[in-house]
Amino acid sequence: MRRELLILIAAVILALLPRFISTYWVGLMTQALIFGAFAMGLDLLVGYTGLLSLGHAAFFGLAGYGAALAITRWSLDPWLAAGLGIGLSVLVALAYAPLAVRLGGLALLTVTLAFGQVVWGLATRWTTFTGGENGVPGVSRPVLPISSLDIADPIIYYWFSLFWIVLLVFLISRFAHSPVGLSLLGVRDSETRMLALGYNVHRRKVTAFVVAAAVGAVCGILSTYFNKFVGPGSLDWRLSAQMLLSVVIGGPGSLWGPFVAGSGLFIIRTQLVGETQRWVMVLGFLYIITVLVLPGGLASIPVRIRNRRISTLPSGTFDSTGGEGGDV
Amino acid sequence: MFDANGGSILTVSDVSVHFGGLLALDRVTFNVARGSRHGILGPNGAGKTTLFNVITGFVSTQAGIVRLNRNDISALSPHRRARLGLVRTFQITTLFKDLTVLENALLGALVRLGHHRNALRAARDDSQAIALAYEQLEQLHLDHLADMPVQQVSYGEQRQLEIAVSLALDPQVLLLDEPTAGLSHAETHAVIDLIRNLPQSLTVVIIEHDLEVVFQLADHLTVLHYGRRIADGLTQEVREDPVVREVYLGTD
Repeated sequence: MRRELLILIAAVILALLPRFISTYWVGLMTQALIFGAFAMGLDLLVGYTGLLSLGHAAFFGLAGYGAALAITRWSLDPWLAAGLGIGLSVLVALAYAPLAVRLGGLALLTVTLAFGQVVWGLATRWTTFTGGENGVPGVSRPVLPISSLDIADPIIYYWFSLFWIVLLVFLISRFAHSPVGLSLLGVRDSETRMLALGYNVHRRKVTAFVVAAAVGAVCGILSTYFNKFVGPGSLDWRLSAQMLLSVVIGGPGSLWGPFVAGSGLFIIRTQLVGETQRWVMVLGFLYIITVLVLPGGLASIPVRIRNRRISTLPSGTFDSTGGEGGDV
Repeated sequence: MFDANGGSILTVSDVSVHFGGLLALDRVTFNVARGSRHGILGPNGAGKTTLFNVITGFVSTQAGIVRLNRNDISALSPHRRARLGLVRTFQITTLFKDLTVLENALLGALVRLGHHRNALRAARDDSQAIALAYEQLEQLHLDHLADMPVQQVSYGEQRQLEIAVSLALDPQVLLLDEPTAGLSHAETHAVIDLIRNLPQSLTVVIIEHDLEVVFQLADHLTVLHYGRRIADGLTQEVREDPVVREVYLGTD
């Protein structure tokens, strides 16, 4: 209940935000929230299950490309196209995950990176279908069921995105605290013990991989419709890296930390750095700072402050103070 | 020797395992009677843990058959065998260290209730599973630690928690791999009492190399030496067996 209430409060504050910021910032916030949710979904794989992926941008981009191509080439309704894009992405994840999660650690990092590069290669080289480096422009947004709401309006699109993101966050939070979510933490801590308790560890890993991909796919659709365009940038390994680092910087397993870091890094990127090579350096620098100064990420800040007040603090999911197991 | 089939819940027939050139288990055969307390005895390197790994599916058999309730389970994966009621502990404490004591037991309770596939309802709202997990902790006097992360409880308590977590699954056969390893004298006695107080319907197979412990607990013994079974039978008989006395207990 407490978690759901916090999500609701955050949603209301975010919904009121456009009253106080410029149209430019409304657009920026739309994208920031999308990347926040993407990072939060990835946290289920990285923070909860303990599996690293450098390829989840592939599922973000695949959904975007799927929808964009369906709309521009086959004139499909954007609502249906969104479903098609997400479906495509999830199917590919379902096919790839059982192979990938047999590996762990660096090997998994490498095969997810390789997979991402294959998808990226397909998008950039298959020029006649995907538009190559130019991507797919002219993607139309879905028509809202309430005719007075014009989705072309940046504020309306912000609310539209916010609606789906709040729904995603709610579902992610539910999932994370369910028995299945708890079992993912179990897999992270001890696969052997999980097997001895009768859990199909392989299937749990596949589940985490596919759920993270599905969240990425929804975010990819929201991003594509925001830009009315999809390009190879949405499949770039640097986006995967940015999401992975958002999880680390935010605090793996905390869910809200990666959300904040995912949004924050996007804003830092657009405001301070721009889309240059320097961004990768800044990202690396932020990563090193986090590892050295704040090993638990942003999410450990409240815990640290509390620990300063109370010397011994029991932590865990079922403990009202939250901690490693994670609150939202 | 005891009844070879009728009362057996677990049978191991001609099981062999090689690790490279090393023959870890050499055509080992024995039966575990339903409801018995069966000790696996042997010096270090005798193949006791390998035998457990074979029985529970963590190491696959290269030859031989493992049967539970007369069904061949040799080809099943570890988690399938656990679901069939074959549940083990580990010599090196294997728990979820970042989770609380309650959450550790809960992961077992959820499987027992079949709630482990629930993906949208909060685990903490599953009062049935929570109650079951608590019950298990109470039974082993660990309930006061429920909200502590496992890494903050003592080693002795962790050893007991391993048994609690396994019991949460309501096993048919509980396999304990050196449950008293590394424990103090007092803690050892606590664990012995705990094992003694387990329900009689539960079959317990226990690896020990502490003879005192094993003689106190086991009614049947199987003795391994360099991967081979050198004795098998009632504890009293095996204790007096000249081969065992020579090889394992020393000849003095």
